[in-house]
Amino acid sequence: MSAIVTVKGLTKQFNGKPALNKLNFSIESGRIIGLMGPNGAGKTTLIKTIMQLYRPDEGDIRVNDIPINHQSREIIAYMPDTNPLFNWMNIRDAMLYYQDFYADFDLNYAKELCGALQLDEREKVKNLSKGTIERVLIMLTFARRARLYLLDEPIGAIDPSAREKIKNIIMAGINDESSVIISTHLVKDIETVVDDVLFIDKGRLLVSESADQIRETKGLSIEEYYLEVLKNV
Amino acid sequence: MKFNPTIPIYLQIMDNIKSDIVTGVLARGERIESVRTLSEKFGVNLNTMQRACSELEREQVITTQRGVGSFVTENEEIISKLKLEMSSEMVTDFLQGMNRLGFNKNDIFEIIRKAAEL
Repeated sequence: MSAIVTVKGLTKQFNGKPALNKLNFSIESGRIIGLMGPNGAGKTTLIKTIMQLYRPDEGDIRVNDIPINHQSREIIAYMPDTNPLFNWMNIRDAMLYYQDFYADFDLNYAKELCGALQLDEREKVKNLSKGTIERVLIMLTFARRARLYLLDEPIGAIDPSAREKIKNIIMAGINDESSVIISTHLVKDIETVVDDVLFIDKGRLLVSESADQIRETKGLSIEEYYLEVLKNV
Repeated sequence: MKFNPTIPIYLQIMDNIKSDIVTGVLARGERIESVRTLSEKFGVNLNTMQRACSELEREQVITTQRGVGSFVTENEEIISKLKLEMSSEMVTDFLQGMNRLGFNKNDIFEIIRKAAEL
């Protein structure tokens, strides 16, 4: 297996305060990674830096073994934690908008996902609830055949009954060639989804380990271990 | 399937499949579904399912024929070994529970005898 993302010495400051502090890690292809940390830990900053929405102050990021550049986004499907869609659009427009933008967008799969997520293509974005917007974004993100999926708090507003479906879409979305990074503080909800976890707090990496390794060696659930690690920071 | 979050998921899946084999839900020599289908069925990710299957294969509970698929073992010896392993786990759990309740060996024998006569 090869690394799809490698981060070395990554530092990002805002007003002199480090939001990311010398982060080092790498992510193998074919894995689902849970990026976990409390509010303000640096999860969104890290994702936005990989997406080049922020410029790192120090360190470097390689995607698919190439230093990130303007082409990296072609293989990264990013689901932001805010709604990037225009209010005048309906869901169908949003799908076509993504199709125009991304060569790897699979319209047929998008339609299939609309069915699974009970989305009506004729609905206007402006009339959608927060949870429905998240479902639309999940659909748009996973309809891309990307190498790396970056999901920033993808299930915060989604009701528990729909979460199961979304977990299945995430798990069905990857193959040996692709990876998913899910940032969340809803640790419990993704216990069975993730292969590996990254715990970060105050911009520092606290833990980078496989989920089963944690269960096996500590006898704790990911959530219990997460709480223990953060208590001792 | 509901998982215990403190035990590695692949181990729980292995136990589930083993118990299906022992109880006959999965027949001897039966072809088992693909890793992808199973991962959807169990609601776990592909790597976890892959790991469960390769461990089962290592323990010779299932056998894989390249390009054909995976099958439940037809080896009765392996299946009776599974049965023994599962029963010994149940007995250990039971004995630990009875000890916690303060019963000694003779009490336990007596309780089992009574229950078995019913």
